Amino acid sequence: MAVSDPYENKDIALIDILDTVLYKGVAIQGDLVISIAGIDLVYVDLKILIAAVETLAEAREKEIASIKFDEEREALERATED
Amino acid sequence: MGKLVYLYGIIPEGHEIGEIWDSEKSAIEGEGLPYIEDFGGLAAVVTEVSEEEFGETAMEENSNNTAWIQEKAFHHHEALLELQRHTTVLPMKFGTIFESVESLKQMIEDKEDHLQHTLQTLEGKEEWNVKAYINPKTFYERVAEANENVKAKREEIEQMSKGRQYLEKKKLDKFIEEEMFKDQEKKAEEMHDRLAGYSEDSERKKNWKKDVTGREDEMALNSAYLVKSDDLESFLDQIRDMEKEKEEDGWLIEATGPWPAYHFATMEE
Repeated sequence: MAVSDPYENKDIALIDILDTVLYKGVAIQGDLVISIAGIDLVYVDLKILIAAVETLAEAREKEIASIKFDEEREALERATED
Repeated sequence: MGKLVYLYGIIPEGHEIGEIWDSEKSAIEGEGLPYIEDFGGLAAVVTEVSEEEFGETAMEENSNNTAWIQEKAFHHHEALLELQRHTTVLPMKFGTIFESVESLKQMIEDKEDHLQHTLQTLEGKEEWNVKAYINPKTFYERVAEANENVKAKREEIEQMSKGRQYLEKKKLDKFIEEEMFKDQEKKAEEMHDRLAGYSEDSERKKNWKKDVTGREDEMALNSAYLVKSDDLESFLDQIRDMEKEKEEDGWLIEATGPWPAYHFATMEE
């Protein structure tokens, strides 16, 4: 069995994280902006995010068979440093 | 342009940001660190964000930008991972943004009982995610030789006339395949029930297709479990045992965790 923390080098860790943080977690209200009783929430449209995850899946299909999560992270860190 | 309030998660009161946040990591926007807003009993880990990047219009645009989503969603996840190392946390979905601290306060006051209750429920527990994959070839062979219905079907065919035998044998492949899918789902459900037995709560999610996983084998189980930290070893032992039991049949099981309790921190009362 592979027991690990979510950072370990997993082919699907990337999509797993996106799938989870975009669709799970406390959802205070529904989609997009909701303005009830003075509470204004901005919420990402789920449909758009599904598309994002699909695009990601397609991209990885074309480029490489597996995305190494560590590499992703390094790339992200580099991108953030700029 | 105005400022908005980005909410990472809700934690019990009485923490300093320095003890629960990696000081090397800046907030989701800008250079500074997030901060904690105390609301008497509950506290929110928040940071100020600009309307230019996180306002409604900007979010609509940015959510089309895969690179942006990846970067920011990862940031959100990493932040929550760090928070849950230090305290119990109700993780928000990525992109939970309030117009002001005042509107956040109002939400927390409105939902206080539920938030308190959920936070207490999560205390001393960890979320673990389990995925099981099946090698269709190996499993097909296993089903073809060991499945009782397939055996019975073979015997039935043996009793038939030569001509019908020929026809029925051609259909046997399809029959085995159908039995394979049934067995696969049955075994996945058994695994899920067994793991749920060692958990306080569980959720079975949809399996991802191969174009999403990019793997050769098929996903058969995709689920999340809320496990008491004290029960974790027994929970993981189940997975180890199951993998040993099922390896020959072409199963592979993966467990990841602990995750922030994304699947079990809900707003449903």
